[in-house]
Parts: sequence; structure tokens; C-alpha cells
Amino acid sequence: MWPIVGSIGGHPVYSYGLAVAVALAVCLALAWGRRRTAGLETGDLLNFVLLGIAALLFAPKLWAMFHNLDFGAAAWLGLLQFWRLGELSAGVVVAAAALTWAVYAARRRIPLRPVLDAYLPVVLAGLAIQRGGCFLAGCCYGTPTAMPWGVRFPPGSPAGDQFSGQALHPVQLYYAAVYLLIAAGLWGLAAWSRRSGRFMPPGRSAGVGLLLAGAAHAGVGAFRAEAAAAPIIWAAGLVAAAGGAALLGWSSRSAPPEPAPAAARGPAGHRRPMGFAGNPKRKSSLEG
Amino acid sequence: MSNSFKIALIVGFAALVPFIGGACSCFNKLNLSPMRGGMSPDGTGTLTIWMGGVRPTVEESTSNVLTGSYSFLDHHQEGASYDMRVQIIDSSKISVNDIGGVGILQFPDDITGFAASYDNYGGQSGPLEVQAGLSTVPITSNHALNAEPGHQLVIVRVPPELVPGEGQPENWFENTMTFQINPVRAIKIKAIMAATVPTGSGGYYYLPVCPAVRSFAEVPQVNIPETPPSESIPFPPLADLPHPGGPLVYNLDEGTIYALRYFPRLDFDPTAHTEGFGFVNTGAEDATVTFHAFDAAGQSVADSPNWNWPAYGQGAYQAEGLLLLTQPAQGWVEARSSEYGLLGFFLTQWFPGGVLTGLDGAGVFTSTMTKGVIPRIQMQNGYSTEVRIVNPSTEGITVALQKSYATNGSYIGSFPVPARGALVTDLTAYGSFDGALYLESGHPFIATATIRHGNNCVATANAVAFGDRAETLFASHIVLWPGIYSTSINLHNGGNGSDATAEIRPYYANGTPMAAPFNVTVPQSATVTLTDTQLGLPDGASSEGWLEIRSPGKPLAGCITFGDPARRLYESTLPLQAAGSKDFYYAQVANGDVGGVVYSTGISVVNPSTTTPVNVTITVHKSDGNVNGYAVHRTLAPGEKFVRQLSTLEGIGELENQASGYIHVTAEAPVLSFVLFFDQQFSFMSAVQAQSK
Repeated sequence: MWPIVGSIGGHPVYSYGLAVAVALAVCLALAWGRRRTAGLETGDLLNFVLLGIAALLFAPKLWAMFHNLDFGAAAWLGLLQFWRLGELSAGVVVAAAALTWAVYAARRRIPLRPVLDAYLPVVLAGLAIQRGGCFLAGCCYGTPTAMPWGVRFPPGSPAGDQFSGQALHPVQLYYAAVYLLIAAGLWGLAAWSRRSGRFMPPGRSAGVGLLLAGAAHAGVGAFRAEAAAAPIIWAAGLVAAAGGAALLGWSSRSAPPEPAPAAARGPAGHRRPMGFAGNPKRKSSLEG
Repeated sequence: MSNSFKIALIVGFAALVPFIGGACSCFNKLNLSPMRGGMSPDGTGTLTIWMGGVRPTVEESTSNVLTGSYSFLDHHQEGASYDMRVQIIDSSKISVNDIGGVGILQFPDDITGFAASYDNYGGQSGPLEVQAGLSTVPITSNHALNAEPGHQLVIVRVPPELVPGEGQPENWFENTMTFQINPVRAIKIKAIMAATVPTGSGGYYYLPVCPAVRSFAEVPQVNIPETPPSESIPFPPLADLPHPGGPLVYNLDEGTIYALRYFPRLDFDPTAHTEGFGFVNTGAEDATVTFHAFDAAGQSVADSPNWNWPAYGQGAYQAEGLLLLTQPAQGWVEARSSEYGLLGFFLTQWFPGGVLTGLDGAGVFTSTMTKGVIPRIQMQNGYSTEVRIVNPSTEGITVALQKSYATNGSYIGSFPVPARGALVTDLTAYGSFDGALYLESGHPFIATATIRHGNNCVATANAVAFGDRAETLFASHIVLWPGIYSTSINLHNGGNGSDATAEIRPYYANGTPMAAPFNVTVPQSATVTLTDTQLGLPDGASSEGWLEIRSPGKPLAGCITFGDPARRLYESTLPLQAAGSKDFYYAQVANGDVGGVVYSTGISVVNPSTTTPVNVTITVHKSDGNVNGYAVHRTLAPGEKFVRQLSTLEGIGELENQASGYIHVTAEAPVLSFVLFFDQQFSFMSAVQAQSK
């Protein structure tokens, strides 16, 4: 559609990259406003974002090094070249981000479920914007369709090269729409919960969201054209949905939330003395 | 780290990502293939393709022989690969690490300014060495790869450090070539992937491996459009690339190139038995063929003179004649052909006391295997089986054997097979059984079994490579004439880890079911034999048809045997077919009265489609390649089997008597087919295995 929006100093500006930047900005803005709901300090929130960026920059290259058993100097040098992205694999990036976030949360004794409840809609909104970038770049495209909303991508884009002149399912927009719908639903659920005073156990909102998002990811994946990617897409969707179901099960065993005073954990970036960590009651109720 | 610094990092990334984020994951994967390319209005042409470099898998490495296999995959042709086994003979010791890789491209000769680069978008990028303006490159000291008239060759060399070590996964790079073209126009190029071997004097030999050809005339063209470089340029389908049909030897010591074919059995006794060897040359060039016999210990027994196989011609000769043998000899034979398109068979003949009592044929091996199964072993009720396992390489190997019978399988032992030698055993030392024999080695081998009922009849069953097992198998002919003519099938379930349930679907010749589909359990590691009524053939009545066997998720290997159940006067075994083909050759045909023996040849062609008719053409050729009679055209209805003796083929006209020649079957869609030839008295019968180029 519009893979390159212009150039600065002779360097092309990619619409996909721009969409990622916008998504990051929007996510950061939304997350900033909800950090107290999530029980996060500003430093923790920024650390979560940095860990996500690090996962994006380094995880694919590290994965390639281990997968190829290539630990030569060139591979290490490539790891440091942060201006070059490795072969992006959403699964590797998401898995690495989730792992680093989980480790960070555990070390900081941050209860995960309130964070997920607060930020899953934010992440989904960011993914919706990122999918808009996919649409503009003409990647992650759908199968040919005779439906009136089918989109013809221009030559030079992956979709246009693969299906020259053919109308395709705009699956990028399907993704964006379902992510936004789920995000809106989760926000609506949270608002209803607050207004009605019927607090949900921690993790329930995120569990529902993850379950729906996983199912939607797999479902929309049925319209994706790249047959080779289909099993991975479906597997990722099913894993996410299974994670959502597990989260729901976990939340069903918990009491309604006990808001966590962020200040009790000390400033982010400083490890608390072990003796100061103890709040066995809260740890028991929130961390299971 | 202060929060301000963290925010600065995030903002920095957000500012950077629009410049580095071209698209998400699928972008890279999509560009693995096909090529992208075209011409800019300023006269710059571009060609871009993702390729994954990998070293060949080494099968054999001695002081002067290196044998390896390549497998080229096109990620846009799922399941398709161009597999090539190459043997390099070079007395100056080479290792796999000496072998490099290049692309040799043919461009119009007015194109200039070639440059190339690579980038894996993971930190590895740089220029590629390009040599342009070449008219020829050496393959060996006596063969060269020449540019076609009006063209030049351009070599793009892959830096050795980019090629992963042996056994490592491929290393993917986006390769981009640019060039200057004036006037700007669409062009046609050709490309060959070649292995390079140092000549020892600073140069290289360039050994084509994909496609493995000796002339660019054989290589399909790729069109690069005049439009700006964003077009998707499809590769030719891998199946359309010319292939030598088997192992290829680049003998750098002699400067020769030849294709290998293996005859697994030579057992010449002028008073009792021998083998006949036959080839049909399906190519347009005359072939020079030599035969090299080795005994069981791997010692050379005989080397034949050069024999000529004319283009499109066929010849079948006794082994002793080809090899000029005057004394009994045992072992196996390697044939070396200057041309690639030779399909062959061998015919074991049994004539104790000078009277022919049995013969049966099997296909020549065009490839080796490391795991396989001989689908028929018969040792009980008067039968004996001789197994012959051949090691065609120059290093000794060990082969593990496991017998497989009706209920299970059991390990026999591991046995050495000398370099260039053979293991010949009748298996009696390991207990009598009927079933199959599973063979496994870490190194290539071929194997065959000769099954006899005393001196009454002989049948031959070649080993089936384990990779050729299939979930659907076909028998294009089953027949029962009670007491006279019988059909049995062996089904082997190896490597599946559990019992297999095979669904048997017998059909009459007109495609209607002969019986309702029924299931047969083939236990794990076992071999089940089904005979006549167990295949669905009606009890007590003469009938014939064809058979489909389905074993979803549990691939099976198998063979079919036709025989004389009462007198055991004739018998013939051939492998079940896993898939149809649109182009079959049968390397031997005998028909009519020749030297007092009246031969008949029968052919069966089945259309396995349940929905679509298929047009089939059958031609019978004489030894010189000329058509005997007329080509026969026939439309087969869905599920129809067409079976005739050659002389009764409608429209074939008068056939000259022939004791050799070949049959060619072509079809618009894949069909199944097989051929039997026999004498009028049914004192012998032999299958001729269908072969495709």
C-alpha cells in the first residue's frame, strides 16, 4: 500500500517501522496513565518497556546463534548492531519478552496478574497499530478473495509480488479490528467492574482477554496466505489461548484484589534486602 | 539508571525503528524465494534472491574419492527437492572443506558492470566476488561448460566463511546482483549451482550439481522483465530441471564424467544360471557404457570394453557377453554411462542342465540407500532365498539385518560388507522364515533377493529404500485363476513404532469395487502376506482387477508376486507402486516367435483417479528405437484398468517378432502400469519394472 512514507537524509522511512514507533508511543502513554492500577512504579514501567525493546532487538539474533550453533565473532558483532534487526519472529520476540518480564516481576516481587489485567488491553491496542503497519507494508497478507472488501496490493510489496493484481483478504485489518474490539471489551469490563463495585479476582480480565486474543489470532490466521507460517500462527494462538485459560483457572482460586501499594517495594532498580521483602500474606494471595 | 535515561533510550528506539523496520517477520521469509529483479530506467538491472548455503552430506571420504549428496529445496515448492549424489575422484587428497560453491549464470554478452553482495540482516553482509565475461569454465580437464552463442558466463563465488560446517543447517543470505544493461530490455538468463574443486594450479573445476548438466542448452530459462526491479520472478519447478537420474561421477584424475547404475547380482555359471543386463537410452545422444564386475570380496572380476547404446535405442545382453567372461563369476556389476538417461533392468535366468526353468527381472539401481527392506523373503515349503547386499563404495561397511515375519521382527545381527564387495547369504543359519528383511547401515548399500522353488522357478525382489515407503500403495494387476495363476502381496510395517491398519480396496478392471474395503492389521516390524481371496479376489472363480492399499499415517513397503500355485513353474515379484507417473519406460519387451521360443508380453495400465478420465499412449519400440507397429491411444475411464497382450492391443497393427526392445507409456495424468513377459508354455514369467526418467 504505502511501504515507504518518505525519506530523511536519503534514508527511507518505512511505514511499518513508523507504525511500530507510534504503537510504542501510544502504549507508553496509555500505560503511563494506568501504572497505578497495575501497581507499578514509573521505573518498573520503563523497565518493562526497555525489556520488550531488548527482546525485539536481541532475541531473534540470539535465537539464530543457538539455532545455527554459530558463536563466531561475526555473530557477536551482529548482536551489537542494534540498527539491524534480525529475522523477526513474533514468537521468539513475544516469548523472550514474556520471559524477561516474568523474571523481572519475580525479582521485583511484582504481582503479575494485576499488571496483565491493566496492560493486556494496552498491548492489544499497540498490536492493532502494528498490524496497520503490516497493512501499509503489504506483509502478513491474506488469501485471495472475491469479497468486496478484498484489497489489491501494489507490486513491490510482499503481497503484491505473491498475488499480483489479485484482491486479498486484508487480514492485517482483521487482526487490528479484533485486537481493538477485545481491548475495548476489556476496558469496558474494567469500567463496569469499578462502577458496579463487583471487583474481579486478579487475572480474570487478562485471562478472558488472552483467551479471546489467542483464539482470534488463530482464527484470523486461517485467512493468512503463507501456508508455511500457518502452523506457527495457529500454535501461537493456541498457546496464548491456553495461557488465558490457565490464567482464568488461576484467578478463580483467588480472592478479589488487594491493591498493592507500589511504595512498599522500594524504588525500581534497587534490590531490596531479603528481610524487607516479606509480606507473606500478599505473596500468597497474589502469586499463588 | 535514571528514569530520564530510560525514557531517552525508549525515545531513541522509537526514532530509529521507522528506518530499520521494513516489515514484520513474514517479509524476510517471503523473500527467500522467488527471485526479485528487473531493470531501472537508468539502465541498472537487479536480481535478488535469498539462498541458504550448506555443505554436502559426506557419504564416503577416502584418499581419492569423496562422495556426497546435495539436496536443493525451493521453499515455494513444498515437498520438492532436487537431490543429487556426486562422487568426486581426485588423487590429490580433497576434503569436503575444499569444496566451494558458486552460482554460474548465463547472461547476454552485452551486459556489463556486474557486482554482487550478500546480507543476512543479522550482522553479516558484504560484497561477493564476481567474474564476468567468461565464455567457458572447466568441469574437468576434458569437459567444459560453455556459454551459448551470444552469451557470457558470470560466476558468483560464495565466501567459504559463509558456508556452514558439514552437518550444520543452512546459512541464509539475501544475495543481490546488479548490472548495467543498454538498451534497457527484458532478458533471459540461466543459472547453475556448481561445486568447485581446486585444480592444484590456482584454478578451479566447476562441477554442476543443480541442475547436474554439462551444457547450458539443457537448463530452463528465467525471464527478467524490463519493468523496475520489484517483480516476482518464479523459478522453474524443480521437477522440470534435468537430472542424471542417479549418482554422477566427476573423475578429475581421468577428466571423465559418467552416471552410475548398479546391477546388484552377477552369478554366471555357463551350465546353470546367469544374468542378462538391459538398458534403454531415453536420451538424444548415443551413450558409451562400460561394465565393471566385482566379486564378493570387492576384487575386480572383469572390466568390459566400451559398448554403445544408441540414442533412443535399447539393448539387452547376457552378462558374460558384455563382460567377456569365460569362467564362472559371482558378485555384482557397476555400469558407467557417458550419458544420463539410461534406464535398465536385469534378468536372472535359471537353466540347470541347459533347460530354461525360470527367470525374473528387476530394475537397475540408480541410487543407494542406508535403510531399506527386501519385501519378500521365502524360505519355507520348498523355497530358498539368496540375499545379496552390495557395498558400492570404496570403504568397508557394516549392515544390520532384521528378519520380519507375520507377527513381528527380530534382529539377526550386523555383518561386514567389504569395500566394493557383497554379502551373499541364504539366511538359513538364522532360522527359516517367510516375510521380509530389514537392512540398515550408516553407509550406502543396495540389496536384492533371489527366491527359488528348487529349480522350478525363480523370482527377484530388490530392496526398497525406507524413504520410498508410502501410505498408499497400488498393485496395477491382481489375478486369480484357481489352481493356475495366483497373486500374493507382502506388506511390511517397519519404522512406524506401532501396528498399522491397512485398508485393502480391490477393484475390477472397469473400476467397480470387487469387494467392500476391508482392514488388515500389519503388526509392528512384521510382514503380512495376503493371497488371492485375502485380497478380495472372489473365491473359486477366475477374476482379475487392481488394488489400492491405504495405511494413513503408517507408511508401508510391499511387493506383489504372481505365480503358479500348484506346479510352481513360474513366478515373478515386483514392488508395489506408491505413485503414478505420466511417463513410463519398460526396458525389455519380447514378443512373438524368436529362436523357437514363443514370447508374449502383457501390459497393464490403470487410471487411479476416481473422477477424471486420462488419455494414454502406448508405443512398442524395437532395439534400434523404431516403433514396432503403431502407437496405441486409449482413454481410460476413472478407475479403469487396461490390460492386454501386445499382439491384441487395438490399433497396434502387425508386430514384428522381437526378443528385445522397450515399451514407452505416456499419459496426460499419472497412471499405474506394469509389464510381464512369458513364454507360451508358461514355463517362465518375468516382470519388468516400470521406470521413469
